[in-house]
Amino acid sequence: MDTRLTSPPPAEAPPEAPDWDALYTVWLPRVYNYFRYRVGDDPLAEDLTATTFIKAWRSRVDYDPALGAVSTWLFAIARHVAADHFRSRLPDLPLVDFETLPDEDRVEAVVEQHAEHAALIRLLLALPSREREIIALKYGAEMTNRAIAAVTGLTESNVGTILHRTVHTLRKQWDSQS
Amino acid sequence: MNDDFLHNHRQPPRQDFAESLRQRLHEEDTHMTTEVIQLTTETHRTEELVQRGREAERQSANGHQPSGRIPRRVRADFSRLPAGTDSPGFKPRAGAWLTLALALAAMLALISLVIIGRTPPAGDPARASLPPLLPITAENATRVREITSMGKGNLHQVAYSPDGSLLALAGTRGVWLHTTADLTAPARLLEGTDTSFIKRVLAWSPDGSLLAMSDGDGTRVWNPVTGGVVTDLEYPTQVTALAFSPDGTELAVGGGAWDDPDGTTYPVQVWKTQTWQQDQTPVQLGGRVNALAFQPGEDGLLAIAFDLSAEAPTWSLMLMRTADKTMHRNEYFDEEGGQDLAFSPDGAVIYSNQRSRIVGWNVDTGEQVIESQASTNFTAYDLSLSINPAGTEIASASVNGGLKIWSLTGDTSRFQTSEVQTSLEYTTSVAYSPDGSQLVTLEYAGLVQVWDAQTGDEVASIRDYAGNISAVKLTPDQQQVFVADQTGTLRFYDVATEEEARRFETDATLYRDMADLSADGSLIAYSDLNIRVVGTNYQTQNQGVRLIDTLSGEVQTTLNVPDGVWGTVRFNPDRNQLLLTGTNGSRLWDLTLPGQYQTIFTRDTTSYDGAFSADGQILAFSDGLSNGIGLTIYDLLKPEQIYVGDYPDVNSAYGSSPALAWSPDGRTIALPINVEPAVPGYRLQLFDIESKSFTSTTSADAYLYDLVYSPDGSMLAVTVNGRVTLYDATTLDVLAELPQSAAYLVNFSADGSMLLTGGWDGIVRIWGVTE
Repeated sequence: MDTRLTSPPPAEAPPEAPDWDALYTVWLPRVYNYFRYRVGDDPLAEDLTATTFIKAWRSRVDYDPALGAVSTWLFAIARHVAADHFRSRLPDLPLVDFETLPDEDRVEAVVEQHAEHAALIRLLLALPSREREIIALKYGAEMTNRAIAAVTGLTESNVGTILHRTVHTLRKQWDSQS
Repeated sequence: MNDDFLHNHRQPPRQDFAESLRQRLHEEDTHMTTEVIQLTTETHRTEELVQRGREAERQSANGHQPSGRIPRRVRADFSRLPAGTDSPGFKPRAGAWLTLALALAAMLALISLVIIGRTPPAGDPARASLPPLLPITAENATRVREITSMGKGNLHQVAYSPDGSLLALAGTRGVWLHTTADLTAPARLLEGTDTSFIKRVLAWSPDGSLLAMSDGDGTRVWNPVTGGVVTDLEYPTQVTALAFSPDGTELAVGGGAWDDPDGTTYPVQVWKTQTWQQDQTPVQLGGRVNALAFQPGEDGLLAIAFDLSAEAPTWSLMLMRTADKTMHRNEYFDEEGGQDLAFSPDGAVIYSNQRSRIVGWNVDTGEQVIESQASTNFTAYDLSLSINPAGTEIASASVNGGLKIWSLTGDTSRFQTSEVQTSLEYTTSVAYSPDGSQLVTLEYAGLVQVWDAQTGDEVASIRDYAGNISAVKLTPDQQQVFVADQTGTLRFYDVATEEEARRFETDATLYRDMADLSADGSLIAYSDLNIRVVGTNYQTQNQGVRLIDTLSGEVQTTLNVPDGVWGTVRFNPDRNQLLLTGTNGSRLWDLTLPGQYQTIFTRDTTSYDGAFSADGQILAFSDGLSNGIGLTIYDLLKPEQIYVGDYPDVNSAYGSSPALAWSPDGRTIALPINVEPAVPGYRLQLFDIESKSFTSTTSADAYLYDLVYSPDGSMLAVTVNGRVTLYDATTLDVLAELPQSAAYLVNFSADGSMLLTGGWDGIVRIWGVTE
């Protein structure tokens, strides 16, 4: 009989609580652009950004710095807000399906405002959900691959791989349509 | 990466939007001020929590393990007590409202204890990395989705890099790369695109610059040095065989699936590694490809082992020149080729295996030149072959047949079985190191062991991976998941971080439910069964039931049972009784007095499972009878047998009822009934305790493995064919089917917000409904 016990190393001291004002100043544009890249609509992006910050503010007592960076926590909320949005929009379809559907009406409205941006949004909305999510975190929220990995649960190398492939695909589509 | 077109479309939020949102948050803060005043009436509750938190910290400082003892929620709350200085709050920008926020900070932190104390477990801050979860109910069953998963998964194939510096382990999560110089160092994961439960195969290019692994419907190729993906190669279905040519210029890919209809053909692709193009249309085979191997040398001769028929596999083997796809000997290999292939180092002989028998043929003449002794164990089944660099030995890995080393010296017409150097049982992959000095094996799809090829001594082992999951259960505070797997490893994973928190390593072979965690989290029980293959004999060694104290990690006691009695173990809800149910009988022990555990109940009937009612007073067994399935129920208080009967319409020894579940109110028992062959062969059946009769039933598409009632009794979660089906517990209507997850074990958290599954892929998943 061989029974061995191993235990994890002792936890490090918890980091300092975040500076909430700085958080707002730094992350508001990033959360906002995350939603712009995610949903492709500026007014809607504002709504979802506001929802995210209100949820974050209400639940800030639950934020534990020892469990992760504030950006990870904030974008976990943002991702749930995005998921809730998609869910409420098309409640009868499974998430995996409807997240890949471009919203043509919304796209058309944006086309009228800004053709080039709408063209990009059209490409983004046609991406699979996971790829679009990572593109939004990378280019909308300007997060590092490591931070994206922390938010999504993917490995950093996997994030890099997905980004590389997705950007490569988008680049080809972008060049061909322009 | 030219991504400027993606960067250029960012824009700052409108100024008025930013300011209005800031104002809105300020108003939120004012709103919370009102709540503060209202909630201060519960100050006594706050103080209680603080006291408990302080006590928790003291115990933690004294080295006490928190698992199962101290609700983490309280500890987490306590850590925020000195929030008067670092509590959340916007800092001055506009000033006025901020002052208010700062003034409220200490009070906010204090009342957060109250708020959290009133919050249902789904809002527990210790689950900060999980989204808030709702109790799973019949109404929201269709919204159940995977929330998180834990574990590195199981493994399917092992292979050394050509220079011997790396050990690659292909599994459900991808390829794990271990440095052979220090196998205890953390492994690097080359992640695939697909974590579904399919067999993973891998191949190194001869110079070690490329590593290929089957990945979903295709093959992923990495640069193992940088970890970068070189290419993804598409294949019509699951890839099951890979091989690089000796010069590294070609990668051969074959595949197939067991459940495809007859007539399905599968290509053997040959990709040029310089261009990642196929020069020719691939050869189509009429069966699943099991193995590919290039002949040493430069002739481009590819050996292919495949099934002639997916329905009734008849193995075949052929040799094909990749340059022009011409066949080179295939007539003599019919019904002899098998699961794996290996060329002799000089390329003159091709070896393949079937049913624990290895045959070698002369590549040029097609004559059979050597044959191994077949295993006497009927269920033994060779899966993997590896030949040492000197060409003097072949190692074969076998399901239910262990590892065998066959000597190629001496009698040239028959292998000489050398003394089996290891006592392994369920061995699915084996590989010699490039210098032939070591041998690596994969046991139970999770235990990696490295052996000295000369002495047979174990040199190192890696127990970071899991075989089939044997048990999955939440700790009473719902912060950790207890997981046992077939390799005999017992783990606790932290739910919030998904990280392994503690580990107990045993030598047991843990089949399903052969380990359990007591309801208070203080004890682990496991049935210490060892299965070994020595020579061609199959042996079981039953060493009783071990009880491990989870605080100390020590075996507290061993409960002895007659040889041949082994099976599932379950604590009663009060943790003062332990039930062993299984082959050749059952035992119930009284655990009330430590050190004086006594057997209080014995049965000789073989049972599939036994289960306590929620109050622990009634004990039910699903029995395996020679002509069917039985149900026997005992009242432990009286004590007396209150029901015994056979399940109706099952008059076959092929019937099985692998689990049973009590409804929380103790009025109903649910059983899976599997009868093969029969129509309907698979049924979910309810038994009413009051009327002592079988009542509702519904048929299922496939074998039912495990089942559990939701804590509110409204639903039954049942594992069927690798996925969970949620049934209405009364009508047995299907409420929802969860996605395929290779699951056969299922359990609920006590608050009903989390559904746990574990299965063949070595991964534990938590499912839930987010707010």
